[in-house]
Order: sequence, then C-alpha cells, then structure tokens
Amino acid sequence: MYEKIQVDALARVEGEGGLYIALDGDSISELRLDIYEPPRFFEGFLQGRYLQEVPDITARICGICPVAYQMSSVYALENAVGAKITPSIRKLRRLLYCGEYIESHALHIYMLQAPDLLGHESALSLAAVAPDVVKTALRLKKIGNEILRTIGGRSVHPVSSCVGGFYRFPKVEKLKDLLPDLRWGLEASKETARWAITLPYPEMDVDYEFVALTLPDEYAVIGGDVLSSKTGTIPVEEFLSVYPEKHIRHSNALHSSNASGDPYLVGPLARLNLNHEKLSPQAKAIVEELKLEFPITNPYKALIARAVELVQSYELAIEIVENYAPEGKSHVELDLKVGQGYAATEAPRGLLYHDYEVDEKGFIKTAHIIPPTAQNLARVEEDLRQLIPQVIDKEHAEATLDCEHLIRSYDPCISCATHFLTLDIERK
Amino acid sequence: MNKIIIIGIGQKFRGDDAVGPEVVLAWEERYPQKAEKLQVKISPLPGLELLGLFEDADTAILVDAVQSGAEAGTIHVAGAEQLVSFGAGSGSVHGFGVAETLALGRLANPEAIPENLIIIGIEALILDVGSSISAEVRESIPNAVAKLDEIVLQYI
Repeated sequence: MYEKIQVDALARVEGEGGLYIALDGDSISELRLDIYEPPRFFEGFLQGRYLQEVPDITARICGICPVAYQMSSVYALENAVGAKITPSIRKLRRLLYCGEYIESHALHIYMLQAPDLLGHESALSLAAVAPDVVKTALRLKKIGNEILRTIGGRSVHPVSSCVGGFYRFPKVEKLKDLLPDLRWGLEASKETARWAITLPYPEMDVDYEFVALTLPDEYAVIGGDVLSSKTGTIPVEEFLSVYPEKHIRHSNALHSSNASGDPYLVGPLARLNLNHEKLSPQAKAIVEELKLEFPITNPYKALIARAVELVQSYELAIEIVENYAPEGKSHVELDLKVGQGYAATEAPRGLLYHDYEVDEKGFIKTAHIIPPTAQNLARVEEDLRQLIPQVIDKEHAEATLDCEHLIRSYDPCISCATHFLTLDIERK
Repeated sequence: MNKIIIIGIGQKFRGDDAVGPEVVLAWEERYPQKAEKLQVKISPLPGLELLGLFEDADTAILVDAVQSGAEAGTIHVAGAEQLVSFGAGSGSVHGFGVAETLALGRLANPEAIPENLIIIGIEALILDVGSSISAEVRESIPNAVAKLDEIVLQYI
C-alpha cells in the first residue's frame, strides 16, 4: 500500500520551503525539512562593501526582523574596529529592538499561532468571531511599527542605524508622544498573557537544549555571552566552534547543531527559560500571576513566552522613553583598522550571530550570518519526529494540519534563511 | 471636502507587481494639479500596515496588480467586497495580502476603512523576482492611468 499526501503551500509561514515525511508502517523512514529556493547570497555580496553599508543591506534579509539584522551587524562591526558606543546609543538601540519585538510577537501570537490553537483557518476567520481580539492585535502591532518609524525613519527596514550609533537621535518630544500608546500596550499585553495561558495547547514535552544570550543584570537581547541549558556559557567569539553549521543535502539553508551534532533550540522559549529571573518587574509579576513553571518544554507554549516578552518589551519601552534624554553625539567616530568582529543579538525568533572581517579602510573581507530559523531547523525536524507517531492514524488532512501547527509554533521566518514551505507525507 | 488618497501597491523587480506604483506615478506626473489636491502614496508591500495608510481619508483608490485568470493587462475596477474574487491573498500572513487585510480591517477595525474604497486591479502576467514589467502589462498602463483619472474625477 502506498499513499502520498501533498499540500502545496504551508500558509502563514514567511518564506517558502517544504516538509517531506516518509512513513514505513508506523516508523519514520525519512523526515526532512526541504528548503528549495536558492540561498540569498548576502554573505557573498557583502564582501567588498564599506562597513557602513552593511546595516542597511542586512536589514533587507527580513521584513519582519530588520532591526535584528541591523543590530547584530553594527555590534559585530563595532567589535571589529574596537568602537565603544555610549549608554544613550545603547538605550535607543534597545528601544528600537522593543519596537521589533512588539511588532513581531503581536503578529505571531494573534495572527499566526492563535488561529491554529483555536481551530481557525486564519486570522480572518478568528476576526469574524472575535473582532475585539484581532483589533487589539492590530493596535498592539501598530505601536511597534510606530516605535520603528519614530526612531528608524520608517516602519519596515528602518534607515537610521549606523556602525557607531545612529545618524541622528530622534527628537525627545516625538518619542514622548508614544507614551500614551505604550501605556495602553503594556496593559493590553498583560491581558494578552492572561489570555495566552487559557489557550488549548497540544501536549508535548521535549528535552531541549535551550540556547540564548545571557547578561548578568538584564534580560539579554543585545550583547552578552551565549548560555546553553546543558553546557553553560561561552563567549560569542566561540559560537561557531561550539555550534557549527553544516550543509544538508536537501536544504539550501545551513543546519546548525551543537558540538556533539545534536539540535538545540533558540527563540522565545529558550530566552524565557534561561533568563526569566531577569525580566522587568511587571513582566516578572505576570509570570508569577500566571504561575508559570520553568523550564517550559512544550514548543507550542512559545506563544506564552512571546506574550511575556510582549509585556517586557512594552514595559522597557516605557522606561526608556520616559527617561530619554540623549547625551553626546548620536554616533561615535570610528577608528578604522584591520579587524575581526563578532556579535549576537536576540532576534524575536532567536539568537542571530554575525561575524565580519574588515580591512584597514573598513571594507568587508568576509561576512558570516547565522539566522535563528536556520539554527532551529534541525530542532523542528526532531520535534516532528516526536509528533508523527501521534498523528499517524489521523485523516491525512488533519495529520498535515497538526504538522503545520507544530512548525508554525516556531514562527519560522524561513525567508531569513531562504524561502517557502510545502508539506509532503509519503506512506509506504 | 472629500479627502482622497491614492495608493499604488507593489514591488519593483517583481515583474508586473510594479505596475500599481507605475500607474500612480504616471498619473501624478500627468495631472500634477489634481495630484496636489489629494494624497498619493506608494507602498511596496503594505501587509497589515495598509490599514494605517488610509488615515482619515473618505475615499481610497488602490492600484495594484491582480491575478484573476483574465488576459494580462486587463483593467479591473472593484469595490473592496469584490476583491476576494481576485484571490489576492498572499498565502503568508507575514505578507498579508490586500484582500485579506481589507477583510480583516472591516471585521476588526471598520472605522479605519474609508467610506469609499475602489481598487483598480491590473491583471498581471509575470510576478517573478528580478523580472521587470511584461510588455502586455506595460501596454495597459496608459489605459490604467485614464481609468484612475476617471475615478478621481468622480470623487474629487
């Protein structure tokens, strides 16, 4: 008996790729996440570019997380030339990142994953029965866009960041104008977290190696060491030697693994599990109110982690805006020299590593970018292996949908690595 | 006074997707005095942000490439409620399609949607990354500009 099940497009995932599962009776003979659009060659065409072009070029890798690409690139290049930014610059960068988290998390929680959990085909059918929920989502997300627009000049692919800081600081009153919306957003995101805990999550428990940045006294998004739940911390310079990438025959995206060859998890669950003690006060209060217990080992519950981070992002954004009084120049002067620089920041989807080699005039010799979705690909494959036995006896459409839901819970922005997803299950 | 906004939607280097902005810019260049009286915006890939572009306009005219199976270059004029028939959803929520976004806006945030919403859809042939506008669609641009002007005159 031979049955082939194919779904031509996995909706609600950014980018294009495919999932192929071959079943031999009850056991999985093959499982692979296929990525079939050509890689984007960003690392290649950064070579020979002047370093100040890099933040605006790398921002183009993703329309959802351009700030993450800008931030990892500016920190890595500052590291390469030995530039030290001021506290004012760092705070504004952190605020810009809050805008991106708000935008990205609000989108994923409400528009991508919640419809799955609630049995809706899309956000549209959710809006038909719960218009207020979707209205809240749209407003939460829009405020994130407004932060990006105010600091970055526009809401997608902001243009204000440079190596060394910002081309200019935004006006104090422009930022303060955001406060009423931010305060509304803080309360709305707490409600989001309270609602998130009530959603029906499929049962799943995975023994993950969580990997995220860590800092001694803040919830790490910018800078810090790389912390693993299994093997402790390493400096970011050692990241590639501990978490090497490898080419996989079926994929144009490189797959990452730990030094033993096992997959690991980056993203909101990893961050929250590793760093929840460093959340801001109101985010921590929500964690206590919801009686969250750590580690959370159910991949679907990444939605809850995103909701907690939404609270954290709004709270931090308010704090930064209330105290915003930029000091000194908006960017530090660069003393160009030959160098190698490394940095990682936490994109909404997880750790985003960049390294660059620059020549004495500040031109890029080599570039290396490791997006979070590529790091999680091997992990998603392993989780699917765990899921398949539970869905194997279901109707094929339902089984397919279950796989889609699991993949989508990772918020895989496959366009970060390459593009698109179809689902293809073969039964023998 | 009726506040009108014209939005050209589409990306350059994505084949016929670029036709919306091309038509809007060509109209603006040809009728600068009319263009001064209303708002003209270009939005390559608005997604959900489309709902924020209308501001407080009474009338919004969207010009976008569509795929309905008609002959390439065919000019469609539709109200928002008819847009779904173009199957304009992108299949990716990160890149919410125009029809999906308008439907979502009508359900969740109806006050953000202008009273009059007209979509000029130009039937696309090629939407490949790296392509330019196809000859068939390019030929239809003058007609689309005329159609846009005709609609502007109805509301101005």
